Amino acid sequence: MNGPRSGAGGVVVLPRSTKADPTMELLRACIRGESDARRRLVDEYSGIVCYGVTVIFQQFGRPCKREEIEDLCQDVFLALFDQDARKLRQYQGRNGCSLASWIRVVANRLAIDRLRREGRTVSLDDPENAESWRARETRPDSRPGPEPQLEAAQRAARVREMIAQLPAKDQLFVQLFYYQGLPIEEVASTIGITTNAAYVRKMRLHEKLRKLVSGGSLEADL
Amino acid sequence: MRRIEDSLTRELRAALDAIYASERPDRAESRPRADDDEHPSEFAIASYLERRLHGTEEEAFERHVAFCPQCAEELTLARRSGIGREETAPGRGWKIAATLAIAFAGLISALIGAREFGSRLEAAIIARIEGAFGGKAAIEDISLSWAGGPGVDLHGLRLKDDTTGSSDPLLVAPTARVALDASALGHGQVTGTLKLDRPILNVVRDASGRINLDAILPKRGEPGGSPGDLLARIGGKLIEQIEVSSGTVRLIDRSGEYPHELRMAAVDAKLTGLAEPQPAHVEARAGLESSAHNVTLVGEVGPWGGSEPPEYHFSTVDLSSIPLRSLPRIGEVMRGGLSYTGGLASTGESWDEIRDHLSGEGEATVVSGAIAGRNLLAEVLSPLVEGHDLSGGIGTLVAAADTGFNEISGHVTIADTQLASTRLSLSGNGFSVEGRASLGLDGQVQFDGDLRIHADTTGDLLAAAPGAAALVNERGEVVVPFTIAGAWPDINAHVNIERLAARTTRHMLVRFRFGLPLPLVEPVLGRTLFGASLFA
Repeated sequence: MNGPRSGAGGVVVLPRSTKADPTMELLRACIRGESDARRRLVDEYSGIVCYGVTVIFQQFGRPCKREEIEDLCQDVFLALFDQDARKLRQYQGRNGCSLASWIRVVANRLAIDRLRREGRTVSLDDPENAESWRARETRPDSRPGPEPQLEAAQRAARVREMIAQLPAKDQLFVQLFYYQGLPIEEVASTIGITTNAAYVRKMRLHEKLRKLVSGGSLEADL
Repeated sequence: MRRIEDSLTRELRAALDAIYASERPDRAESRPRADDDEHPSEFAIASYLERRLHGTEEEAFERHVAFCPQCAEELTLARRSGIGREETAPGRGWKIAATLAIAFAGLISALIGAREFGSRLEAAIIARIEGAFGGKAAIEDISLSWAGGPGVDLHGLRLKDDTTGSSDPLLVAPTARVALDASALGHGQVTGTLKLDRPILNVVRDASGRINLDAILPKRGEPGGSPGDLLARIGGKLIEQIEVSSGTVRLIDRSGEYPHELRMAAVDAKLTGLAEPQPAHVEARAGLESSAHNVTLVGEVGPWGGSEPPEYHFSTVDLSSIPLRSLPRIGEVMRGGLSYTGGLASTGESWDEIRDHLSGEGEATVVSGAIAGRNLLAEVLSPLVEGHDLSGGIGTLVAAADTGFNEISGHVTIADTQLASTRLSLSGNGFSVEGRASLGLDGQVQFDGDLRIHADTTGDLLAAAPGAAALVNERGEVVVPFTIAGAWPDINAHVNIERLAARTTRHMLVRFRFGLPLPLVEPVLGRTLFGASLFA
């Protein structure tokens, strides 16, 4: 969805109206492979990339060292310029986000991927780790049996169906507020409404969900 | 981060857990990104946060993220890293604490995010702090500290005042510390308490009426592109609490003919709930022109940053023997120790707005005081006693330069820049006054009540002016209804003839008016018609 508007051969389609926009000029020069332009892009955006990456590490509760952040920032720019600037060509300027925000999301994703991979790396020698063979061998299986699992799956499917009946913004509200557990003001700023409006939306949504629950076949489940 | 939940929320969350069990970000397999049509591109995420997705594009994005915890997490993290964040500058007003909270929280962000970045850190942070205050700030030293928990120590923070030209800095904080919540840090959240030890705040109003504090407060609609703004925005939620100990607040007013300074010492204050969208809770104690605590405030302030000006609701306002002589304007007029117990509320973005919107009610007393430079007692009694030689208690009262009293007390209400009481009592040596009163911020005074010369003083009065016997009541007191009106110091105190006439017996009226038609008019007790012979 919302993918790049690339022409044949991977040539990026940049808006014509950007001829006077220095950012788009810089982007074009980078795509053409001009080393000065690429150096300028790195100079101009390395600060926000490093900052964004640092914030992601903080959010994951992961201490970071200078070298690690610098490596990651380098990886971000390498990813942008790699394969004839294939990544950079995906940026669409017109009516969209700023180049700075786009680069930061790219950097964020790279950092998140790295941290998620780290999170999945487990030591088989760690007896406390659930994935450890020793733990699997020595602890009783606490998972529910097949019938409760089936019931839970059916209930989940019905809740999914119920949420799907809501307007799109309400659906996202459910995800951020009820599932991710974000504070209401953070939900508000993420979906682009005021905090007061978020409180009102939450109240209405709560009522709506309650009605859906009591009115539908899900009553017995919830 | 988890909240208190009702049953629906709990059940809903459990069901959502079941839905997303296989899709949690920490369990998700690595997947291709930008070329993957299943998930929104980086461009879509950034555009959504910058509010540049509309219509079906926006709806499709929201529907996808609603059922994709992985993308929801990415969206949240992108938001937290500052993308598309709107400026939510605190409102202008008397908000030094909130401003400091934002600036210090930015500092924390910088330290936590860059603590491994080497020896240039201090210089970078100081530069950023200075940037956040538009070059007004100077810091002598800054360091990370782990004693007593993780935190940041700041030494020698000064904010210069370049608004009013005052030689005193706006703020001096010899030592300040941001103590971080270690348990929250363990969960990847940076929250903490800002502790200011012995800060001195110099609030100056210059000759043109400008207040220096306004200059450092964030303004609405400022662009947020600078590193200082960036840190301030990130840090806006980080300081949950501010504690001030042994602080000093100097309120220096240079707008009048003579400069005036009011000093609050031993300021101990605590603001909690600053990270919440709701108003913050405040508890403060201070010594107004005293080294002992004589002011206590408990209430709620804020919220800041919304479309409405911040509000102030103090459920407890306790003033204990405040020396009135130290207060501007009032101190020139009245002496004594003011006490007040009640509540106060206001709203506004500037000192003047807050003052003009003040409202509340409570019990007020002023003890051992005087109305300076005017003997209102003598002015009221003048028609009775002028030309007579007074001695004893009444002589002392009338000859005094001021109107001395033992106590003024009453239930007062404050609204529309006016302080009013429907039953204000004043007691002095040998006399008392009771009536309704109002005092405006512009100096307008209105009083309507009775002066009561006590029985033990009445004898002295009657000895000098036997005619006053007509005003003696059954308890042996001389009661004179009177009115005060005008704008201080141009006020007039005069006997209320109408009420006097209404309560005086018929034969006394006959004696007074000498055949004059009713209603009685002002000269009845004056000299114009009757002179001294009336009471001879």
